[in-house]
Amino acid sequence: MNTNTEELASLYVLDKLSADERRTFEERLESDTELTLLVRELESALEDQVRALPQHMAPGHVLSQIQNKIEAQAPIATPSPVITIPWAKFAGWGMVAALMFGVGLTLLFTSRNPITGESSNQSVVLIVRMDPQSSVVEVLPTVMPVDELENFVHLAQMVERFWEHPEQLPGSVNRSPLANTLGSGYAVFDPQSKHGFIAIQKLPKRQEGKNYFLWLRDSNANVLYRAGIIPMQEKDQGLYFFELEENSPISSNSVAFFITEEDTAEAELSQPHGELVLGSDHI
Amino acid sequence: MSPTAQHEAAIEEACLLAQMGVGDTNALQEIYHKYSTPLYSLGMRMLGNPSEAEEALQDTFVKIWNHAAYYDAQKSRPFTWAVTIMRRTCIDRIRKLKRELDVTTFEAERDQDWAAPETVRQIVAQHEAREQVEDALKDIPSKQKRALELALFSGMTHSEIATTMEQPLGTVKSWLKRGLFQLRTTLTKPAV
Repeated sequence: MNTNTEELASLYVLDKLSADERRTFEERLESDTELTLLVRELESALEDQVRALPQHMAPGHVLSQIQNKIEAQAPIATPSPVITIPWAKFAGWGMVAALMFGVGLTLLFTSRNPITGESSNQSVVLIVRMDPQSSVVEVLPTVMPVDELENFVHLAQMVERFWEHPEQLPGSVNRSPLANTLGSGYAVFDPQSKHGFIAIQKLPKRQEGKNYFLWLRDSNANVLYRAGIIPMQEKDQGLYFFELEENSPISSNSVAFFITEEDTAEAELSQPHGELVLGSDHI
Repeated sequence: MSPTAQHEAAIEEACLLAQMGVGDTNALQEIYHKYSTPLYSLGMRMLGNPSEAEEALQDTFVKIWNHAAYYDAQKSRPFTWAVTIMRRTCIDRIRKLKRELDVTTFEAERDQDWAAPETVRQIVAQHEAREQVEDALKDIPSKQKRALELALFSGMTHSEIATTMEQPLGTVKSWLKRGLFQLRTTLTKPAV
């Protein structure tokens, strides 16, 4: 690493870069692990400086005043997506911990009915676009980490990038997938790890007593998986994580995703009965 | 705090920020408990006035709340992110008040009383941290140390620091880098 880069890293940590310089530097951080590690170490040094200052406790009433200010302000527009996932980059288990707390990205239920079949596809990620009546799949060759958590984080980074820059979605999937007024979305799925993310927007409001179910159909083996129930709640968009059970092999890259609206009482539903809301059960 | 402990704390704090991002006020309380004392102390250092520091702290936490969902761990550690918000808030107040800062050195504050920490563990941790930083600062040439202090606590840009110290901008940038790198090297050195 050259001196100029080290100097930039120092100025970045000290918040002395201009907005443009900062943005450019942050772009480098996304792809330069060595630089990221250096920045983390410099940040640690800065934090130690702050913590080593003579410590003064804030007056006891400050927290309640902060809470009052927060309550008094107009509701803040929820960022898009509903839950951002950048901290997935930070540490895999931090992400998992947050999922367990139910605070981050929503973890959907795992599928049932494992089947036998051919071994999983290696080193590809499937990007599946969902429109109201169709499903289109693109196979994206990529090297996915073998380690489960690393794999998870890698996939999350990819999804985040697509969410922030949908123009980077590959091929036929890249058609402003989240701009469809009738509802739209896409799934990013690693058939090897069976981890996936689904991004959806503008789904119609659920009817009372109904749930949105996410399904995956392996078209080659003609096997259906229930990937989970999507807790859309008050929002009409979201980004969700799901995973299939370990022993659920995916036999091909012909995978379709679709969402149906089902009665809430059908929590253990193994086949869709309700109305198709998004996507298609065949490619 | 050891690098491992810092890392674990950072992960926990990143999770708390994520919780705040979806409106969890309990997470706000936890983050406040972790950050309020060092941030308020930073405010006191930069603004030199309890009521100003308190206002800055309130503004900072409201900003943290409003932006928690956008926190990006790729760009910074959680506490560094909070420190940056606090520093920017203090700088805004400094500029607004057009106050001339009396930038004291760490040494001048060495004998000041510390506010009573809550637990013995905190007392020990704070003293250890302070001693470590003081030891690290001893190894830094005075001009580098001065430049670093101005950069951290005065709100000056590096150009303003160069003017104040009557040095070329490139020299000041170099000092800042070397000062921070020296701290990083000293503070991450394994304890003997």
